[in-house]
Amino acid sequence: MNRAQKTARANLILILPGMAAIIVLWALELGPIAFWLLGMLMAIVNSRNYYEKKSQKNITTFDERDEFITRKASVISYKVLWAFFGWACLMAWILTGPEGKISVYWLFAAFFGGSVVFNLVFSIAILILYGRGDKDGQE
Amino acid sequence: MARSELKNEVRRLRFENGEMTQQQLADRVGVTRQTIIAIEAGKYSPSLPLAFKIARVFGRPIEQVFQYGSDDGPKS
Repeated sequence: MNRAQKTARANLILILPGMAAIIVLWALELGPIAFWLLGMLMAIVNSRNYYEKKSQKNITTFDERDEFITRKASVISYKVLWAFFGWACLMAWILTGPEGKISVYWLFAAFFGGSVVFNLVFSIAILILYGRGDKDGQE
Repeated sequence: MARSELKNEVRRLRFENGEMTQQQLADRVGVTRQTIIAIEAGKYSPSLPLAFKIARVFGRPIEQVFQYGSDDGPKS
């Protein structure tokens, strides 16, 4: 398992329980705490990814195949991110109507929710694209 | 990733070159061992510069190391 896969797996371990906790808090009408947790979760995930990338720059742990997979995963994640933003806008329109009003919390939720969705899809795409290739022919 | 149409003799050539390990080949061409594994398994098609580097390690022309799988010849 290489660096990108380890990072993706660690992200999933952080994001999935984090999302579950946020949904539970939201259901218990503890919206501000859920938002705070969402912000903290994204700060932890992004800072972890940044420092892990920085600490290994002198070793050959990232080559053209990793770059190809990362680029492909990024494209998939951006497509899903746009779909998420489209869905967020559409939901606001559907729920409140053309003349309705939405809370500013909605914008905050869309922004950080988009970040969570991006990291989640990116991590899943990385793990799928690497697949089981590392184990075949290993010596 | 999809299996590539590029066939290769990397595994055989490694053994013919003093039983070179995947890690040794990876270090010499500047990639990770996982990439060598994927190339040998036909799961990844290397870039042209990497293919040349690998061929150069074995001292062979690139077409002896990598062969395109399709039977279609060039169309005139």
